[in-house]
Amino acid sequence: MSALSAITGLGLSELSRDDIGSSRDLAIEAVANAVKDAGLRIRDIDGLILAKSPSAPIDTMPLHLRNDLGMGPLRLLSQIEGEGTSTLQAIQYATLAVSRGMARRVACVFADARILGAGAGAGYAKAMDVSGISGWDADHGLLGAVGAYALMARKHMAEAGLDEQDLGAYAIACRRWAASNPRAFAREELTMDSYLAARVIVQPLRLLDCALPINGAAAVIVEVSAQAGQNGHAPVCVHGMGQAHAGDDGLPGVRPAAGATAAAADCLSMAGVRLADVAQLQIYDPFTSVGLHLLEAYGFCEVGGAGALVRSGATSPGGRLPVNTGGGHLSGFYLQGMTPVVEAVEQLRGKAGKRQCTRGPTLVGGIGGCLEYHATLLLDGAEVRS
Amino acid sequence: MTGANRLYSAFAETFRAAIAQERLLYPRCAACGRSLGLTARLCECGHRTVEWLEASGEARLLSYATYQQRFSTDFEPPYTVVQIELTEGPRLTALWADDHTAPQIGMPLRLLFDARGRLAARSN
Repeated sequence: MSALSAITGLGLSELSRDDIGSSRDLAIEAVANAVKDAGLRIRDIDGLILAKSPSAPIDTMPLHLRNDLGMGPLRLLSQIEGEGTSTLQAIQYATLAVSRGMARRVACVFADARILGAGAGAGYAKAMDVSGISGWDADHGLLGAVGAYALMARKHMAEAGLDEQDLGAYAIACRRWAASNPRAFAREELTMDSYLAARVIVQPLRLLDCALPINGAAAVIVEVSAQAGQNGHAPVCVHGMGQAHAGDDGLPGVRPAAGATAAAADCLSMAGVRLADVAQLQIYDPFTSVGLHLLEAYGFCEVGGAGALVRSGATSPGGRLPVNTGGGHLSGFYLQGMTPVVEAVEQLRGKAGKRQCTRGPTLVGGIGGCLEYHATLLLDGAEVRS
Repeated sequence: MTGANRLYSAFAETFRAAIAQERLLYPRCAACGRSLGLTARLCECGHRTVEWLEASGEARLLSYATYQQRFSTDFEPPYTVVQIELTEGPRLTALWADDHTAPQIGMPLRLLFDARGRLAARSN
């Protein structure tokens, strides 16, 4: 079975904890680098899909970005809003477009520049509406994504029998990967003692359970699968895609990760890959609790088994199921759903340096909202290795 | 579209107006009698006529989260936010207001309004 599309270019802007410009500026830099990396010129690109940070205003990534880039006539242009799943959705729609000839070469870009001087924390204090009555949650002190995720984490930990040391084990595994990623922002050794000593933000989540925000952008170029491997890079192809949005009826029976199970199953089925054959897992883990939750929801272990799986070393360097091999969002850098894509492409190109793992079917997972939205990709070379 | 928008805001306004009088209402489908969550604006039976009923004020604790960092001057840490399930079905966020008992998942709750008119919960 031939691949659905090829990711032929990868480009990043400068990544920084300092103010290095607007999202729009960073997006320009990332797209320009991705086009160059694909061996193309900007005028070769005929499609552009923009993904912004969910908390950023809609004009953060305007369609006029195509003018900024000096692009020629486009056959595809839009901004995607799928909250945290926007980046994977962008690659999915680009794949559909190139596979039917609607466009030939589509740039997909994500940028975020929330750390801008004084008051930078305000973006992280924005409340998530989880009750269904606009403003209700903010009125009752449920401020910031971290609060809403702390509620989910507490519930999941109680149901699954996970404890704070399981969260810590996940953070440590990610940090071990980050140690050999030159792009990662937190590379110093992390021990369980130092994890437990980190300040609590919203119990049960500590500072080291939370993503490491940066300013930056990343872009990929999506082309028809026949273009894979034509530009000097090892082929990186999309073989499967899934989305699942389980919804929330406002009653307590909602399983926040139900969509994750469906999105992974659909994606693997499309690619003809069994879960047991997944060689690497690259996921959107804004909090340690989400990483553990996804390991269970995707089916890599039983509910309640994620802590033991991580403690066994399976997800760490040298383990049988490498997870977030660049340090992910916790120790690497927080470019939301684009972080796992960047790492998957580098791994499948064989360019991951000291952290390089065996190349093979790579499941890329994205989440959004309060685990309400899920999108997945199955990436591998020109053919699925199994 | 204007009709849909009006319905959407009418739903929240009805709920909020009652809260302002320290009354907790919950929505039910007028056609099939199914309990609706506060996220719903249309019953799965296809009807969208909602009737609002007085909640008993009894609930169960689904989860809780304790803020140790200040996110707003309106909320002084440490404070605990709870997610509750009304006996009548809907899920809602409230503040923990029990100085004597630690929150515990599954525990029965009694709801009240605090001095600032916010929905609060304590062990029952």
